Amino acid sequence: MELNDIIFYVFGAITALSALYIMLTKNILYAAFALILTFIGVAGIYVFLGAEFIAVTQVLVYVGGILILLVFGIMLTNRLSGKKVVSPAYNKLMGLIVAAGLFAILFKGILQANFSAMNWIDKGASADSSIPKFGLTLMTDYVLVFEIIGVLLLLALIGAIRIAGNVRKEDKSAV
Amino acid sequence: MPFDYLLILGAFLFCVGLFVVVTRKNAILVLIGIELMLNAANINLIAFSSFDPNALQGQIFSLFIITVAAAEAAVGLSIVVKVYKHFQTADLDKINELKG
Amino acid sequence: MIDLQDIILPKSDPIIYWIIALLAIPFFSFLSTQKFRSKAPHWSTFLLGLNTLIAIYLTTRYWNSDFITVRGHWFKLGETQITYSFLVDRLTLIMSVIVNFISLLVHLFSQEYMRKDKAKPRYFAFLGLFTFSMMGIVLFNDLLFIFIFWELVGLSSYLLIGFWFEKKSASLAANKAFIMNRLGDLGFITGLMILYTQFHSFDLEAIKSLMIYSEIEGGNWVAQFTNNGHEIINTLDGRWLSAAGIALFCGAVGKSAQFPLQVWLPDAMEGPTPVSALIHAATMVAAGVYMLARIFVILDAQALEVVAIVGAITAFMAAIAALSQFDIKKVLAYSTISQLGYMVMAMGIGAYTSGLFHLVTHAFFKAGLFLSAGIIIHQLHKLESKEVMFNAQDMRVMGGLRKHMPKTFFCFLMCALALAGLPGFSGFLSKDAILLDLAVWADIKGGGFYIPEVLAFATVLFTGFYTIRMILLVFFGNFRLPIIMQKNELSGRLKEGNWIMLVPVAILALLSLSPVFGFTLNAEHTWFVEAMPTPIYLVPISYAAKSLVDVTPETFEALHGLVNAVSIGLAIVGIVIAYLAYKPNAKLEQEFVERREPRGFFGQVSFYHWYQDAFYRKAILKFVMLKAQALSWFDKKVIDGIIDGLAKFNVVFAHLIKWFDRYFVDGLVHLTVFTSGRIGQLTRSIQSGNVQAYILASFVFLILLMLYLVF
Repeated sequence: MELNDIIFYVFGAITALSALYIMLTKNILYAAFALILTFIGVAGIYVFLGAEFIAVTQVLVYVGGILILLVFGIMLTNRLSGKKVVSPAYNKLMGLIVAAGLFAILFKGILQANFSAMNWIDKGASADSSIPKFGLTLMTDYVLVFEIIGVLLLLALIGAIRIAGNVRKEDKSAV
Repeated sequence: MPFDYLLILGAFLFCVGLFVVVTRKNAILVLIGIELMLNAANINLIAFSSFDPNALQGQIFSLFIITVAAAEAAVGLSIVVKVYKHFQTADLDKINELKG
Repeated sequence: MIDLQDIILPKSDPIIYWIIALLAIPFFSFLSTQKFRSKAPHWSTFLLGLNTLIAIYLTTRYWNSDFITVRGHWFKLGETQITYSFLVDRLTLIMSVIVNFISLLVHLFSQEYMRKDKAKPRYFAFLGLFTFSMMGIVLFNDLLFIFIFWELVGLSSYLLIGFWFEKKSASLAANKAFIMNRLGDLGFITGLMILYTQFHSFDLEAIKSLMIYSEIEGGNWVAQFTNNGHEIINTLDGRWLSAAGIALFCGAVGKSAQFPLQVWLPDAMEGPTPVSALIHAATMVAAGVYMLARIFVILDAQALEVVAIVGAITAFMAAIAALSQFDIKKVLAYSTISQLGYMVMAMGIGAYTSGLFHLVTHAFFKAGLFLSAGIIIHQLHKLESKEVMFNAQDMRVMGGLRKHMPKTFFCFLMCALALAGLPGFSGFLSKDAILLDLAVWADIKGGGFYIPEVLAFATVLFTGFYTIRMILLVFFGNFRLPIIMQKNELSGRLKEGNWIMLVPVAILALLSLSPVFGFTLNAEHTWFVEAMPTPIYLVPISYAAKSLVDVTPETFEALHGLVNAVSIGLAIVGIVIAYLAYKPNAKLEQEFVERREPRGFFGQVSFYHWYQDAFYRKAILKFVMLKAQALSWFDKKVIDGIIDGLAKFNVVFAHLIKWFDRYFVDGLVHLTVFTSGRIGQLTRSIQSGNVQAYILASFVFLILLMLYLVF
């Protein structure tokens, strides 16, 4: 077994285990922190799959942005007074059945599809790193989408501020 | 590195996210579950993209997904904060104004 | 073809106002006497006097005019038009005069007779009601209305017989009279039904008109006519024609006290004596004869034979019964039945005129007899006191009254001789006419039809006997009451009745003389017989009796002398025998006073009126009572049992149904409710408003979809 594979499995295990922890823990804060591990694990797998830029973006956006937002959200929506921030679960049986059933179907589908046997999969091509090529493609072929995404982000930010902000104050200032 | 394992990992992440979304009462945790599911989708996209070095459509798509996820997280969290202000709780089982 | 609606078209005539007055005045008297209290007798007498004047005026005015019909439509039932109609002819006029006149005299008489009675207003009200109903029978020419007034007459008779209802015997007698009359009315109404079935009308004129057109075809009685243009052919067995006549006659049997229903009349003497004079001698009992006269033309041969035979039997039986009675009113009652028998028999043999003539003469002399007896009873009652208690109607306490009340005696004698049928008195003329017709009839018929003749002539003998016996026992010999009571001073206290009582009696006694009807000994020549010719039968010829009108006058002439001689002879024989037997101090007179009831088989049969009452009591009453008991038992045990059983079964069944309802029907309903509720809850639970539940559901369906699509 190569080192590459070992590292991949380690990352895969980190991802899967931290995800399981999110699933099992009742503490919201712990879940948020376990999410960091998941994201990092996923980012590692991205690197192995030759998507370094995506991996970096993953870490930047998720760990640096979304997670901070989540933690702030927890802070804003719970009365933090020394005790643990816990959230009970319900619908456990139904949720488990649905999730497990979906997983079982997907698992069976993946095994049945037998992607390895497909000829379009070039196993050798996965190792190449091509950030410049990615940047070129993004700025040429997909530049319109890129701009639209930017606008979308801006709109989302403005909208988030508008929603979360104090409406009354704004009304008064508007007058 | 077996390709199937990647897909199975993605499926596992998705199912875990789904479970979290369905079972947890707290809205923040539901958002966390959604992030997990988005990541599961991204894993699949990147995995398939790695076999296509020239076009890189999968990677670009996942980049957009990350962006959208960020936007979604921002808007979603702001809604949660607003809901909390309004209902004095962030538990989704208590917020059932649409109950028939 | 004749149309029924054409016959019963409404007709009007100014006389209707007089008719209404004739009916309304007695009815007003009935309604108003209670208001006048002690003045009631004067008031109602005044009203009746008014009515009598109207009747006399109408008679003088319309006597020589043709008959007048007044008719109106009452109501319509489907195709059937029910009408009311009045007929004014000579018969109507003379009957209304008699009814009103005798009613007036009785009112007058009652002023004195009922002076001490506290219920005077009631008495005079009932008299008014009776006069009203009697006038209804007389004036109406519609069988339905005649029947209605027939019943009213029965009612007023019931009320007057039971006037002293505190007396048990009076109320029982009233009941008896009413029930016996009802039995007869059963026949009347049956006859109405038969005629109605055939002719679809109750109007007598319509019935008579259609009767002319009905025919006997092969033993069937066919009536063919149109009604509102619809052709109607009614076919009945020919015997129904006879049945209709006999059934209608049954009504007359009840009302006119004919065999076998005559037993009520002697008992009816429980009523006040003036009432007996009015109702049970002169008018009501004559209603049956009057009715027979009205339907005379639609009676067929067989029905007439039945009428004749019943009349003869009644006349004979009642005459026998009158021979040995102690009660003066009983004697008069039986003699009334006997004379009514004559009238009915006259109708039966086709002697329409003679029968009606006898009705008129009998009305006067019998009312006179009753009122005279009333004076005697009234005066005797005055002798009653606490120490002296006796039956004032019993002839055993009388005797020798000629000296105490000579005027009464004289009136009584005149009326009694009319009853006995001696020449010079009205009774002779009418009875002679009947007997002559009877003799002719028997000769035509022959065979067994001589028996009514024999019975009728025997009755003449007995009539003479009981009449003179009564006179001898009441007016001759010694006044027996003081002797029985051993109080001689009673004899001096018996006085003649006052003029209020004597005047009516005197008038009636005068009317019992034959010159009133003509200075002749031959009934043929009286104004009455000449005024009222016998009508011709209208029934189909093959069923019609041989009319006496068709018999040549020579036949009558040939028999006339013989019949006259025999009847006068028999009457005189009867009188002589009675005189010999009952003259003062004769053997029978002595025995009579001492005995409680006659001796010997013949005496017993006579006294107990052929044991008819006893027979009814033993045979019919017992049977009826037994049947009633049996039916009561049956009702109580069987029918009630069945009903109880049914009820119990119903209750059990109801419980079963209730159980079934509760568990099955309600269960079903509840099940539906429950399932729909559950489904509602289920579907509602999906719409929980919970986002996660929605997500869960959508994923569930996603999985199902995948399973469906992929596998």
